[in-house]
Amino acid sequence: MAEWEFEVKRFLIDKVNTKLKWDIVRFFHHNPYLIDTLENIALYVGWQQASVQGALDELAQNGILEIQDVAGLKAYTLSTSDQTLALIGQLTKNLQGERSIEDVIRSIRQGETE
Amino acid sequence: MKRVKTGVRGLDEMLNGGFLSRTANLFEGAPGTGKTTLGMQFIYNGIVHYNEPGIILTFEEFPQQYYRDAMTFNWDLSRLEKQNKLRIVMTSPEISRLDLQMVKGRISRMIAEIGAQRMLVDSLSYFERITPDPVELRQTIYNFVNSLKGMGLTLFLTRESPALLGETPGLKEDWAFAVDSYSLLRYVEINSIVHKAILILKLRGSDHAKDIRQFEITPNGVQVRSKFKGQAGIMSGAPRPKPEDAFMEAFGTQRMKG
Repeated sequence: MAEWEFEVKRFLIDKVNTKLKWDIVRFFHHNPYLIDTLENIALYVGWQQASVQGALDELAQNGILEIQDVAGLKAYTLSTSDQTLALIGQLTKNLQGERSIEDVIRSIRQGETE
Repeated sequence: MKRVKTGVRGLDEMLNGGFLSRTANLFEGAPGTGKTTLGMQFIYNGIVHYNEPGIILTFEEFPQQYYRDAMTFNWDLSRLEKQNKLRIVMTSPEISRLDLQMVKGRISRMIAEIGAQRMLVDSLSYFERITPDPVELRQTIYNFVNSLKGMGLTLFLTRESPALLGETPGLKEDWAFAVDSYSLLRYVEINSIVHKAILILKLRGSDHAKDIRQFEITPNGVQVRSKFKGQAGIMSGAPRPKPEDAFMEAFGTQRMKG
């Protein structure tokens, strides 16, 4: 596993800490101007709506996504914060070639407790 | 009147110099006929040759798909996006039409941020999911198109037609009403070879070529060629030689000899 900066590690462990959240973040990273509803995002990432809803809202609470009220419809967009976008970029780079995000998280956590 | 050049060889000539500025221009065709390629070319040429930033509003394909497809023609859309001359916005018809009605909607802000003057909407067919009511659909499309035109954009709209070859069952006059120009892209089979044909059905406020022309997707993008010669019923998908040509082909030489 590549050397991880502390901030990127914390970003992963604290905010993008499940496979579903990572799938969503990665999807937005490749579609930075996406603006869409829960139903469509669930279709795009290929997960059940019920699970995606919780993940989207948590990502929004953590400032990774933004919730837009589009004339009464709830839509999600990627954060416009440069700092957040830089962290997502670095995370994407670090996770390139990794098969399992759970393994990466476990490995980071183990490293922290040792 | 200001013309917005597509930069597509042969097409601007058919359009008498290009689209009229701030108009909606619909291209309808079966899958694979080149609608999206033509639309990307309109956006790419606008940025690179005419300094007119653009937006691709997609309801189906992911941005990665556009980057990849465009690179086959050496159009580096990703670079243009980094230069803030292009945005590829993935969304749904429902969100986009509501967003455009808001004072500071996300899409309007993006249009303003990059100073967009052109937009590809790919594809308008997705609006059919909003409502099965044709009157409501017509109204929805009319509002959507007008709100974008009102922002100063010249629009390239695509619409999928279900028929691969031949006439589309029930060509939607409603759609023609909502747009300023309406063009058809068709597959045409001649002597067991499939060609592509383009016809401009209408161009509001301007003269335009009335003939049906061949076009090809080349390594440099779409190029519109000459019109089909000696064929009748091109848009049926399976044209036949014009009667006089068929006669000449069958008997002409012998009669001349005789």
